[in-house]
Amino acid sequence: MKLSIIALFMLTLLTMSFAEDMVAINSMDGRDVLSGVFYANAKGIPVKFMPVPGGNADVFAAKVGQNHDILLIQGSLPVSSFVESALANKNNTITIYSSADGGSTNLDLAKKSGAASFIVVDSAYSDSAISVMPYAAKIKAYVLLANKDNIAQIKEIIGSKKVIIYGLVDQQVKDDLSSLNPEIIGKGEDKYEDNVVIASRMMREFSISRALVVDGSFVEDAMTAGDQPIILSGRLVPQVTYDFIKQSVRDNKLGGVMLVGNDLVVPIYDMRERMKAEFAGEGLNKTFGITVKFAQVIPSAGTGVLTLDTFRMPTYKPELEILETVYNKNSGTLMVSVDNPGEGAAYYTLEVKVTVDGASYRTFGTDGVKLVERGETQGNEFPLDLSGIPEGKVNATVLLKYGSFKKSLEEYTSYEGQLATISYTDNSNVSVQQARYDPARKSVLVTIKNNGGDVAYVFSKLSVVYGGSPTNISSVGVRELAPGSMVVEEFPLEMTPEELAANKNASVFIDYGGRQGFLLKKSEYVVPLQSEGEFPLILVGVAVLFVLVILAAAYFFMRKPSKKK
Amino acid sequence: MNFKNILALFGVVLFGAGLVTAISGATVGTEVEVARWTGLTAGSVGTEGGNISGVNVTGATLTDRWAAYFGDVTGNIRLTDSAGTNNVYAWTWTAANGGEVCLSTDASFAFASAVAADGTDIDTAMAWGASADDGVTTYTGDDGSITFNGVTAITTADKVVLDGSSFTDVVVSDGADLAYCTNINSAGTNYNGAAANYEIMVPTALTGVTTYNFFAELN
Repeated sequence: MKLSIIALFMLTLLTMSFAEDMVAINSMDGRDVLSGVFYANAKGIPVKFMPVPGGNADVFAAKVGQNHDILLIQGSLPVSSFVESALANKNNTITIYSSADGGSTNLDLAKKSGAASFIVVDSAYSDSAISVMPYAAKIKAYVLLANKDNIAQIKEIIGSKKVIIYGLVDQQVKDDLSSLNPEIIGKGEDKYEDNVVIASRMMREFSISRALVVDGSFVEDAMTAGDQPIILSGRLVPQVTYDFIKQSVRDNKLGGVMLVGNDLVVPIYDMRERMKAEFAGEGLNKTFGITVKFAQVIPSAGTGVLTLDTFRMPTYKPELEILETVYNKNSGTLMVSVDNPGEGAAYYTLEVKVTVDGASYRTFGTDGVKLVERGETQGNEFPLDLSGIPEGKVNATVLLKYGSFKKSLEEYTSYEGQLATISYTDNSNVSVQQARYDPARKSVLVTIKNNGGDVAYVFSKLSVVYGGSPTNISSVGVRELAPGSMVVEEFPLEMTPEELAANKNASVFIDYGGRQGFLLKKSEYVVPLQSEGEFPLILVGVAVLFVLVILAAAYFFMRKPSKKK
Repeated sequence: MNFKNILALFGVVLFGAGLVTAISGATVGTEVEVARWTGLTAGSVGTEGGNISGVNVTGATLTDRWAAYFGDVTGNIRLTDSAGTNNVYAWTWTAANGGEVCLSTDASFAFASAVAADGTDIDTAMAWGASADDGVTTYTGDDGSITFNGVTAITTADKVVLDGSSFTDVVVSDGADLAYCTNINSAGTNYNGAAANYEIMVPTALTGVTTYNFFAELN
């Protein structure tokens, strides 16, 4: 017994005395990787993570080195099961932190970090966490991945310490933390706008004249080091990012940027050439350096040249495609359809150049930035007269720039080729039949009919008074209607009896057409908004009438014999 | 109207009501939130070891203190999208445009603030004692020159002219770490006379592990 107490005491002492001098992360969960980095940076100690793919326990242990006291954050799904033994073979002392859930680990390490301040970002995607990573490292703040479900715990962890809310977060997160008087960085409207705010702040506060430029979809050692701000960009440099870099170069506040991997080599170099030309136009000789980090090697380990150690994070990337580019000689238009097969809505612009025998003939562009919903195909028409020009000599070049924010189109795709000619007249005929409210489904159901003899495509919008004000609700996507068929579009909407009373009629707007993406015909229907609740009343009325008729008939037949008597 | 007629009318009313309700059934799903943190989130970045759009690397161990890496930067920098068009970018580059390739143990070496370094800095960084192939013996001259960013010109770094090679390497410092650099040469040759666009010799640790990162700047 006495021996057990002494052993327990020794164990407690050992645990208390363990002070890690390095953090190692071996987890497939990106939250574990981020949390480990935040923890290490808050404590001011180095951090290494197992890369994926290419994570090799021996190479990892070689990079970590020997004689360290290591906190090994091991996820429930580790990258390799040999990391612990590989580190131990290097004479390292290891304490394992088992992470069963990345969200809980983020909060638990926050408590253990002893950080004097915190930065709260949204837990959904990694863009914000990556944006604040170097600034948090500089001020030794821990970054909390917040959402409405864990905000109560987060508030408890923050206590009376300083807190910054960065970028887009759930409104409930803002509301619940408002009593802590948080500092707000970024409007949360555009990730690139917010990103340059934090990058600018870090450069200013710590007199840093360089930055990393990445797309925000992964982490790498240069990013976790926290010694320079991270600027986000796509394959197109968003305008707000371009403006920020140009102004920083103009003010001699940015001397060079570093790229990690080659994905952004061309756009960033192209940006620099544009800027140099623009500065030259102003009589200025200004530029900035671009260094690309592209490989690594461990000479003494005989590894050969290795890929960079990276870990991909979840991030939303818009995805648009040019579905069709044709010339319709019936309508005298160039038709370009844009499809959105991605996971969310996207904004885009189109630039179209038509050449005849290689010579420029016409140039078109969309009027401003357009929105295309997830799953939607959107048609664009440009007036074009090609009469008299033989088919086959006409080429079209279409450049589609797109992005997840209206002001920041960071991606592009293009089409170049011979311009096909079609002869097409839209004879589609679609109408709205009825609208009714289904209290069980808490939805308004709108019946739409294709009256024509060809397939038609329709996108519908419902307009009702809801919550005391006119409200428009769009259908989720475009519906394809076979000839002569009907479809019921469901608009999820819970209405009170008062709201039903205020909506005796509903307006239904439909955009339709006979060609996918080209919903060029528009109609508005004002139809009575029937309620499921009204339907039984009619039945009751009919039933009462029926009973009265039966009673009257019975009375009539019963009276007759008595008359005969 | 007799009783049969009344029943028939009622039946028609009920049948009509049934038709109206029978249309329902089609549903439109609500927007699905994009999956996040689903566990298996890791993936690779499109960076091949030793390659940056055509830059390749070959290694050679020279002594127990030095290793050399050489390669080409002659690959085509892809300026177009998958359709092969070139509508977005105007920038073009070939090895003849020049540039620099550097190796450093620093994961994010600050090239914008690089200054000249010397052989003593190398010996200090590697914890080397005096020997025939130590830092001060290998990197000498105080006149090695290299220009970063087109503006940061360094002219007083120690340098090493590589044997049998057309390349001269210089050592620079960002105040915390060292980097070993050379200018890209479109007509260069490496230590064994083979064509190469760069060749860099770096010190290796006698004990422990040294990890070098490759950096390139294309002019």
